[in-house]
Amino acid sequence: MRLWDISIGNLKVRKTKMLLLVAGMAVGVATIVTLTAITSAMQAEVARYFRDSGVRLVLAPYAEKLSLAYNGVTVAAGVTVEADALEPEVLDKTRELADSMGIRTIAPKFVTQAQVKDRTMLIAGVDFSAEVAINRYWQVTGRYAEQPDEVVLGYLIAERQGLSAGDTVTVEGQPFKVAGVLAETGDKQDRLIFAPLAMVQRLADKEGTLNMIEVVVDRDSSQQALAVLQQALPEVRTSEVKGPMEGRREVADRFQRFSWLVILAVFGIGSLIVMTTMMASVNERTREIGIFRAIGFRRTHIMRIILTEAGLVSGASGVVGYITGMLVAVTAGATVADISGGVPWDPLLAVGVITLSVAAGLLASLYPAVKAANLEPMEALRFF
Amino acid sequence: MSLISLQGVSKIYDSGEGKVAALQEISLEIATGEFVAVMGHSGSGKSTLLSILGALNPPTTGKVMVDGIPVYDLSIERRADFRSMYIGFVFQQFQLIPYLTAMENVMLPLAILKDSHAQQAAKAKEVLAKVGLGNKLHRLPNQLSGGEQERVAIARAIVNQPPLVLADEPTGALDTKTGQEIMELFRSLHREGLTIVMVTHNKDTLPYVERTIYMRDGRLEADTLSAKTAGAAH
Amino acid sequence: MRLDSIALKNLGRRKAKLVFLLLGITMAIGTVVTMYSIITTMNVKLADTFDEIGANIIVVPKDEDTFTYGGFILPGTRESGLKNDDVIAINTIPNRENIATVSPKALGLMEIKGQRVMAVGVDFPSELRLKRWWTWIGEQPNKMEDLLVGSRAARTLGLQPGDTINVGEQTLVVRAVLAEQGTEEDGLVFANLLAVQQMTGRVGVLDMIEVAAYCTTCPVEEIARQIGESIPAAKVTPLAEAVRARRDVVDKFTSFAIGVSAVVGLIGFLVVMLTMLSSVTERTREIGIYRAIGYRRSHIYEIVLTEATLVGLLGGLLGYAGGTLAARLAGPGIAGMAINIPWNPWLGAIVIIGGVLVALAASAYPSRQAANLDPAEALRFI
Repeated sequence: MRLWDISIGNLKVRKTKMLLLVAGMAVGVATIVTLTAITSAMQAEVARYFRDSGVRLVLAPYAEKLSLAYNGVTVAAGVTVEADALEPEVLDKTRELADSMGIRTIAPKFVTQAQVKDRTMLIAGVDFSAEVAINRYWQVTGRYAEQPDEVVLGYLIAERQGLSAGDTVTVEGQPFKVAGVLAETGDKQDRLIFAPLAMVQRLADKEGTLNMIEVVVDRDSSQQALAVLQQALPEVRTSEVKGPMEGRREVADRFQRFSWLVILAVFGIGSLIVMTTMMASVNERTREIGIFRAIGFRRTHIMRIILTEAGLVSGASGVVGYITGMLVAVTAGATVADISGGVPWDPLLAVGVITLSVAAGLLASLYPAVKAANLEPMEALRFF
Repeated sequence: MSLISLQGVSKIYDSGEGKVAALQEISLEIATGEFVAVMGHSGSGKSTLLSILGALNPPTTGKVMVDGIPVYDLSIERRADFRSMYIGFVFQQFQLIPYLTAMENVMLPLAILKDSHAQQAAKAKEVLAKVGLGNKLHRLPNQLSGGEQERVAIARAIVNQPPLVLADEPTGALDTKTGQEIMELFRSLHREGLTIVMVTHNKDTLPYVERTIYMRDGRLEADTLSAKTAGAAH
Repeated sequence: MRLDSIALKNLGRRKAKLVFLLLGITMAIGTVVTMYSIITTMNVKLADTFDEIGANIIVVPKDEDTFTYGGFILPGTRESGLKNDDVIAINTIPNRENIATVSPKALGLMEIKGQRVMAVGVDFPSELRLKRWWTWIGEQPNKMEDLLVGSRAARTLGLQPGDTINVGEQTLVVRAVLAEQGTEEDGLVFANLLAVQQMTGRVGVLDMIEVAAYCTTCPVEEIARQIGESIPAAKVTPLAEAVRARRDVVDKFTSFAIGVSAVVGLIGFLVVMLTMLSSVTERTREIGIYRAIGYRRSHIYEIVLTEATLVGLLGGLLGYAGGTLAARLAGPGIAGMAINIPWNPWLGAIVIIGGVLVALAASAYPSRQAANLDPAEALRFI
């Protein structure tokens, strides 16, 4: 019989006790795992939102005339001003630069007025796939235009003209099919008709002409892209669109930082749970340690028995806790925490928590074991 | 009239590696007021016999009557009530509750009865005085010597005045002198009319008892009256 | 001596055991309270900060026809049914606590240095609170005669911060020039609301109202509906972009907060349960003694459950007090912002009652097991 056998024997005989001990410690480890997994998944999703949003740049002619409108409302009653035009090669040059500059989306636009029924309205020629990528909040009833003779209506246009998807509308004397109607956006897009770019250019008899180009760039390369575009296209005014996004990003960053602190706190708590459970368990064995001392075991023998046991139990708890925690995160995380991207099984986390569990378990059993081993055997035996 | 009557009592444990008969076909009568020792080697079944007498351990077969009551026909809860009324137990290794004082340990059997606290305290003090611990009422078990703990255990067994006291190796954990003192205590209790059944393997205790039952391998081997002691006792 | 005094003495005289028992339960409940308090407070605070950035509701007159896009302007009518009083109406809706910022606007033409410019009359404090991302060169405008000039307008008109200009009979001061925004704001001049209204002879008339509303307790659609009800002449629309951003960011925070609270609650539950479970399992032998001296099962339950109730109550109370204190002390540090965590009596009631119930449930099973054992067997137990 070796000291090792004493440890194993104790674990085998006192099954209920050991199960409770493992369960207690596994709960601590599982907490760490679940929350870490949920938090990193949440952070990844929020980060993805801002990454996907990118930075918007606008390329427009240097109109030294000042526009007389704000958010779709104008005060210049009775005045019609034609928008300035961009040269066709601006779009080609932008496309050439796209790959090297981290430009993700290029959305050229041409806006003109058109007679719809008896009214004059604005019709925007756009590249639908680019527009949908830029306006991520768009929702369409029906679908986006796919054919040259299809249009998508802003919410208010559709409402006021009593049009819905599938209807036919006459623009400048030509019949168009309403492919879809945009959900209300609350801004000027509610009062626009969207049609394929080439079609609108042809309607206005201005093939190749654009009013502006909107561009979405990766956040990391946005300043560089802005500088390059400004240099390459001096005849065009290129500027970064500023808006609430930056402020919102800052709020999100603060929450990300906060959630790391939450994880840190959870690590602390988890280790504490592991430690108190272990300490209480070793504390109970004062009497037994007295018996070992009485039959002539040295303190180191006792430490070896206790630490072997603690190591085995906390290692097992670490494994059980990691698996349980991941299962909880995968099942509950998807529903409770609304994580769509899935929770990855992270081997680094597994190694980390199992090591932590063993370290906390050993550390926690050290103190009561030393205390008990230092008692006079007779005194230890008196414990109930 | 017999206080205790056992008819054909057997106890078979199923240890997983086969069946072990701890008691085989024991029939036995013990009268009110007897002081009986049950002797035997370890494994002879004497402790099992004691726990069966104490309504703690249902026999596999056979009938156990105490004061005319078929103990194991009672429900598990009525059996608890029976122990409260009829049996005082002195366990091996005393089995005191470590966080209760001597007096509180003695009051334990009274805690489930209707007595007021003052009545309980009076009874506990009385029996502790009787066992010679009147001055150590408020000690915790680990502040008492082995003999003193044994006395507390005896006081706890007699505090609600049961007709029958069962003792499991009462001298087993004590030195010779202390053991003799404890046996003196049992003898004086016996003289007050208490029926006592004691399991022991210590021959030194035999001079104090009236009757000795010898057991071997789960069977009664001999049942002798100790004439000398019987004479001395009456 | 009664049965409950056995429970009291067990707790009172076995200090080490009591300390471990209470430590386990207090820590579990304290963790639940601390985490829940900090996370929910932080979540609301951040959601509110998020909602304060930019408008999420826009209020315009119902039959506004004039329209422009990309510098292309169509003529239309200039009748507006929105009045200054409607700002007050917005602040009287049932969910008025949810209104963060109301920024009314009136539009008008100004002639500066011979050029016609569009002037947006704003209430500077509200407008600047709404447009937190704005930066400018010059001083913060807030007086009646102050102007905030868009970058392109400043370039075209040759204006610098500090310039004084005459518009009609009024003298206005260019207080600051707005940094380039890449939007139509670059070509505008922002002036005091009343000044613009007086200049255009439309006293008390507004062209639009931008509203930032806190949407944590009430969805933005509901707030928009309430505003629409209180201003019948207005068309009230939630801004789709703001709604989407909130859904993709704040809703994630909220789910995270709920998820963390749920997990921590579950942990608390499990720790209390395991602690009590092992505390009672330890007492098998003791229960055997009680049974042997004639205690009924109900007596045993009374002892064990009295103890569980006491420990649960005490642990719950200490956990609640300790947890709230910890949250109040550590909260602002952890959150990195001034959050105020209140003493929440409901949370207290829930954790204390919950603590007792869990402790009772966890003790009931092993004590039942022990009480059902044959006493002879229980006494052999080590």
